[in-house]
Amino acid sequence: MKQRLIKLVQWTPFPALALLIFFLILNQFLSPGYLKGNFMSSFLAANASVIIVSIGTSIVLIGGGMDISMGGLLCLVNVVYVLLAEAKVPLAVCLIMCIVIGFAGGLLNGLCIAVFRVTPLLTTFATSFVFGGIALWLMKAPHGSIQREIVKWYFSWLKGYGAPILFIGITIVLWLVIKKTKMGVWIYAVGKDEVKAYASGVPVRTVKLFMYGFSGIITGIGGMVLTTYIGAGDPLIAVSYTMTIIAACVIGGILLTGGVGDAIGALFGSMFLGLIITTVLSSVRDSFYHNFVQGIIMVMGVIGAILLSRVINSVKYKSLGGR
Amino acid sequence: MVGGNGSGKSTLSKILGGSALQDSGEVLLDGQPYAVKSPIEAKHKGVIITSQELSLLPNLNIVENVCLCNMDRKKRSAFLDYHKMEQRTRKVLKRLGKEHLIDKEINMLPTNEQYLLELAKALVQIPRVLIIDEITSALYKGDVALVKTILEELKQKGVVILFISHRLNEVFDLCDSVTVLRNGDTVGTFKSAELSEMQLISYMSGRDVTQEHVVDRSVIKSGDQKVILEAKVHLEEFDKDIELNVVQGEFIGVAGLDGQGQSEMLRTLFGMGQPVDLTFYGQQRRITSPSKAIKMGFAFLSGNREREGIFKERSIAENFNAVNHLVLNRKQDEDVDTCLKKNGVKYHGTKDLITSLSGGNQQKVVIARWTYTGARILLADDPTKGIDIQARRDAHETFCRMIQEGASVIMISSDDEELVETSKMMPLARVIVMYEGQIARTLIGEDINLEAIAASSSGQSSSEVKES
Repeated sequence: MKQRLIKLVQWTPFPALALLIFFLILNQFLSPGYLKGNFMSSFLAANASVIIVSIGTSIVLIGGGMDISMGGLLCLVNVVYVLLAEAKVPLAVCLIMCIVIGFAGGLLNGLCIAVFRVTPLLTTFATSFVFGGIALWLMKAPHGSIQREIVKWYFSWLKGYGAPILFIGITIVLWLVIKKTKMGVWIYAVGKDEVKAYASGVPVRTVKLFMYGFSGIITGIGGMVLTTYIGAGDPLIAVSYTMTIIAACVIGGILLTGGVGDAIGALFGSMFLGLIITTVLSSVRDSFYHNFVQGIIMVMGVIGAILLSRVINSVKYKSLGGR
Repeated sequence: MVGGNGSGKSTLSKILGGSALQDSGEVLLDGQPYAVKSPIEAKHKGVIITSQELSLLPNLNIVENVCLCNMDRKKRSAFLDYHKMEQRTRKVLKRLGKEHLIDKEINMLPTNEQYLLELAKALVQIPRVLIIDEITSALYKGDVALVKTILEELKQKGVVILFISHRLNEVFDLCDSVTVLRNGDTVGTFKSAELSEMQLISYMSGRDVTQEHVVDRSVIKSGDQKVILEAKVHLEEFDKDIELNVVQGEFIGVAGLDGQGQSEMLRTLFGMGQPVDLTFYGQQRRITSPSKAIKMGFAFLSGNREREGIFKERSIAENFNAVNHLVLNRKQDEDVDTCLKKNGVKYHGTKDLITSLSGGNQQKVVIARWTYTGARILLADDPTKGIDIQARRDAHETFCRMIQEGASVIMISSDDEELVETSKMMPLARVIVMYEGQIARTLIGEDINLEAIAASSSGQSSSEVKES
């Protein structure tokens, strides 16, 4: 039992989990009884896309890469989905197309980075405009809607909990499966030190292609969920999501230098961020101060997470008798 | 295979291992042309290399590290067979007598055990050709003997071993033939039985080195000189205090097995650990950070070049001037070229990246950086680890010059021979042997010899040593 507790505390996502729980409890004091209503289900429905994409992006970050094109790619997936639905294409085809578009986008990133060796930040900065540009070209202004049945299902299955949890669950299971294969170990190896990994016979290029492609697929799923949530097309819907997603990964204990962390951390990180935004929106009246208050809470949260992990580390090293 | 730093040993082994490409020439393996484009291909053909820089990844566990090159999968599925990997790791660690390492973390291990793991990682790949690049320089005598038996076993099975080392006695001990490289050329291949150490050194350096160091030792008694540093260093790891007095112009060698508190003592003195109070030139001082220590006149030279020596992304000149410009705020430029030449650095231009130099030359730049800070005390933590004989001697001569100019040097070394040899060069020398965070014995004069150091390293009391 004690062993298990120690293991939990030393788990890299733990500070983010602690932060999330702390904030949930704090909210209970600020607005008693908020957990009783349908808050949780609507919270999950609204944030599922960001949570899902954070998990995908965290895999790229663990592998030592960088991705800031998710915002653009999400917009593109959204627009394509809505246009297909407008053209009366069957639902299954729409959903598959979302994943295909996401995969293609991720693969394009991977090709530029792994094969042509362009810096990840630069590549994904450029491709974010490519994706966003195509989205705007396909749809000039927000309009259209998707099949009504799926929207209804998304909000009502198992009192609204079912669909978001299903999609988040699929993403997590995918990650856990990868972690148990060669690819999982390889991603961590490449993230820590590409040169050493290469010298150890890790196919670095394949690993990079895989992780960007895979992250693209997850972004596709995220775009699908996002579209189902809003039910309409908007070519600029997700432009501002990029930094939120990266921040969620960092709060979740994933280092931007690569090789450290667990995608589960991104789950906690993004839920924490979503919770802050919801809380601030509901408790601060003057919208003028929303960003300011959000920012302050975020800074405090990040510092809190870092302090907590530092305490955990120092205790850990002392217990192991190391330096 | 032997040769000075920058003679091309590592490059050659990297070409064979597939992580560097050959420009021209031909390699034959079993009579077949052998040209590989990647480490994966080389491994496929059974050519395995253990790298001097270590290929271990601290974010993976020991089992994953050892099996990284050929992980097992469960039958007919994509999942890893962790159980089988653990068995293989256990088996190879057992061969190395290090079975207890299996659930440790890489960063917690001392250097010698990391090098043994690197060897384990090569062994699990079942090599046909095994290239060992400078692995033994970080090992202790016991480990080396173990490695020797393992290599003998492999040899019996017909594995070809390319053994690269700076320790010539190991080369004589382990190898059947010796190939000497110099400046990227092969000087020749000799039967090691027909070769003397002196001959080998002169082949390596291209000069006639038939005599030992020039010893002009005008021995000074420590009573004649004034004590410049008195310190009481608290070692947190052992919860013990060490009292240390340093006399002007003194050379203090620090011997002992790895992890007996040598590094921690030096690092604490340099302000990298707990604050330390000391008396320096008669004044009470408190050192809380390296920058304070540097400003007082301390210099710190680490054998861990990658982590504590060089600034990888910076030029040679910037690396040389780092302390003078950034810490001491001295704006007048020393003439970089003259200083580097004086320290025997081989380079093209001072604006080149430091990483364009070979390991030994990088270390020489780092030594030069500290020599020209005007330090009064040099703290050196195994400064010549993994560099060749010639570079080593250059470094020792630099230390000697500093001492003649009135500075004092405290040097840790994992190589006892180095301590004995260096002590002979210095006018005033002392060797302290550390054991479990304490000074087990202090040796001076004729007492500084390999036997005495070895005996007191293992914690035997001084009286027993004298009798033997």
